Amino acid sequence: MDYTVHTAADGLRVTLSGRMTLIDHEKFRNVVDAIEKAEGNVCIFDLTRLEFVDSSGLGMFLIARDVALPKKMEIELFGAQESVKRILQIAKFQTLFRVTP
Amino acid sequence: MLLRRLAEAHGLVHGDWEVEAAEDGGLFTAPIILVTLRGSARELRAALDLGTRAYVELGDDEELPAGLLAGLTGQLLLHLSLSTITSFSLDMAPQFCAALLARGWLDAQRRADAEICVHEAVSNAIVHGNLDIHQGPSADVGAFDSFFRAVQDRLADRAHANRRVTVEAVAGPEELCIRISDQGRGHSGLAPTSIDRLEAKSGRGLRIMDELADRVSFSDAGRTVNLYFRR
Repeated sequence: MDYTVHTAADGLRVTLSGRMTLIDHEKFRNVVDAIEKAEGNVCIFDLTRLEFVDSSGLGMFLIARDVALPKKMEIELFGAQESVKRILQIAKFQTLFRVTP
Repeated sequence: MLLRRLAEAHGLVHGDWEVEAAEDGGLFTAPIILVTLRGSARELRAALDLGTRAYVELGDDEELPAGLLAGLTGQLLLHLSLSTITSFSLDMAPQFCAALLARGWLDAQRRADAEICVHEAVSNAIVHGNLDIHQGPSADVGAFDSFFRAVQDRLADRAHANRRVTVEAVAGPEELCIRISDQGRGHSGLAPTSIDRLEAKSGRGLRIMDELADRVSFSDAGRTVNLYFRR
C-alpha cells in the first residue's frame, strides 16, 4: 500500500493505493499519527486507487475512527472500487463510517 | 545437489522434478514440482505462469514432510508449500488465484472472492496457526501496535518462522476446493459469523470467507480450512 496525506481547510485528505493488508501496519500508523495531530472535522480517505483491503485493513480503518471520534472528526471512505466496496459492506462499515461513491 | 538428493530421498524420478533456472533466476521450462531453497515472489510467479503444479520451499530446515513430494503430481492439483516467514512477506493469494484462472479452474467472476478468501485463510494460518497468536488486535491503538509487535517477534523466532503454510487447490468436476493448512495448535471449531461488536478490530476474516466462498469447512483439528467454489 502507498499513501499520501494532505491537510485541507476542514481536515485531512488521505489517498490510499495498492493493496492494504496486515503488512501495512507501520505505514498506516503514520496515517493515524497524522489524524491525531490534525485539526478540522473530517478526514476523507480517497479509496479510488485502493485495489484490495483485507480484514487487517478494516481493523486499521477502525483504529483511525477511534482516534478521530474523540476529536469530533468524521471519517469518510470515498470512491471505493467494487471489490473493496464489497468487503466494506460485509463488515457493515456503512453503519460506522460515511461511505460515499 | 541438495535438490537432487531430496528428489532421490522422496522417490522422485528425474523427470518429475527437473528445474531449469538461468543464472539470472529466470525459469524457461515448466517443472511439475519446483523445490526451492528460499521462495520468492518472482520465482513463484514464473513457476505458476509456466504451469508448475507444485512450488515447495525447502526453507532453513532443509527437510520436507515425508511423502509430500510424491503426492504432488496430480493433473488437477496446484500446491504451494512455504515457510511462515516467506508466506508473510510474499503476497501469494493474487498469484495463486491468477494461476487458478489461467488453468480454467476458477471463473473470472469469482476471482476477487477467491482471492480475498485465500488471503484471509493464509493470514489466519500464519498469525493464529503457525505464530500461535490467538488474540487479534483489540481495544485501542496501543493494543493494535502490541499485536503487530507480537507478530514481528514470533517471525523472528526460527521455530515459528519455519513452520509451513500449505495452499492447495483441487479442481473437481463441479467445484474447486482450496485447502489452506498450518502447523499450529488448531482449534475446536469456529463460528464464522461471530463478531461481538461491529467496532471490533479483528475477527472478520472468517466472516468474509463465509460470505464469499460457496462453502467453508475445517479439518485436521482446525489446522486446515477448506474453501469451496462452484465451477
